[in-house]
Amino acid sequence: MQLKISHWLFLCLLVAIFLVPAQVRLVHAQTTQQTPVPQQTPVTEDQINVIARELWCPLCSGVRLDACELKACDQMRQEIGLKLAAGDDLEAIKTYFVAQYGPQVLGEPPRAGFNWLAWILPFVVLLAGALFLVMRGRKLLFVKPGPTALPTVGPTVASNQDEPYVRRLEEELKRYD
Amino acid sequence: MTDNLSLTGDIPTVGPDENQTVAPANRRVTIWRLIIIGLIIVFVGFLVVGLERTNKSDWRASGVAPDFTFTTFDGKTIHLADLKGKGVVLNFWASWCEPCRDEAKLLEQAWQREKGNNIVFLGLDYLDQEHAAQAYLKEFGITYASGPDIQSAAARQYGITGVPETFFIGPDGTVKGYLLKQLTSEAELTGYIDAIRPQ
Repeated sequence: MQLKISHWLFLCLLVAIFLVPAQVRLVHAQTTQQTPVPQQTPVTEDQINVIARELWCPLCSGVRLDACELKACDQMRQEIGLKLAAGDDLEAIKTYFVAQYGPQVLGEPPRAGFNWLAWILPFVVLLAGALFLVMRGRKLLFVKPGPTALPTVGPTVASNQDEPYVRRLEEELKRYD
Repeated sequence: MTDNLSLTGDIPTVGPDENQTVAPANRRVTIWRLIIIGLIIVFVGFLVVGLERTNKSDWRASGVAPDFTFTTFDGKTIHLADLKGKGVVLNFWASWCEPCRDEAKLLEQAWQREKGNNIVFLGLDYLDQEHAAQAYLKEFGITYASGPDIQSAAARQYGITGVPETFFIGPDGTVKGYLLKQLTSEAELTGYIDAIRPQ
């Protein structure tokens, strides 16, 4: 059976229609397969220090990891570099160091469970102190009139009533002179 | 002083009954007192609990070596309590610690010598990175069980102040000796091991 040129052309067209998308799918599959491969971008010192600034030296007190010159801290910074190169983010790196060294590496108590007390208590105490001061201040500044105020009594009557006391007070004061 | 008090007490009060005006203020003072006393009690309570916990973990009081579990770098889990009946040399080390490097060979040589004598060597890696620790073990050819002291749990129990520190635990589970500095000689190490040697 002989095929005409038009038949050949039709056949080529069919092959092209089926093969080209398959080819595209294949290329796409290759690209998607290539995407997850982590690209080994070099991690800079600055990138490491951004993370290191969020952590504290577990051996010193009050020294941030980026500023610590101990060999142990240098190793920790190297570990951060390795983790960044592997694609870990800040939270993942922090979680790793907390698991290894404990929460003290964060420089603050974790906001969970019993540790909430450390976060809340200072504010509670501050508030209680402020409230106490306000109440005491009010008591000192604004003396309530009325029951404690002296009645308006004539000066002669008052002086007559108070005379023995005044005399006694003067005697007492003289003793101190 | 008493005269003064009696003097003020003698002044006649004018106006409403004293009890009526003073009572709310007294109540306020009582509430404040209760709050402050309550806070003090809570604070002291926390201190007592903390102190009790510290005492429990302080092996120096009882002599009993605090129990711990750790996983070695090659994945084996070791529980100190399982080693009763054997002498245990427990060494805290770190790859960044220079004196640890100086004593590493001495420890490995002693381990090679003693491993058939019911003596177990354990290495707890303190505040270290696994890559660096593995390199250290390879460098000094350490073959006894070594692993990270996660979150310094054992270090806290033993109250270590730095590395290296070595504890010698007898077959009965009590601490027979400890060295809070670097091991300097084979004779020194052997002396400590003799004290924990099972009979």
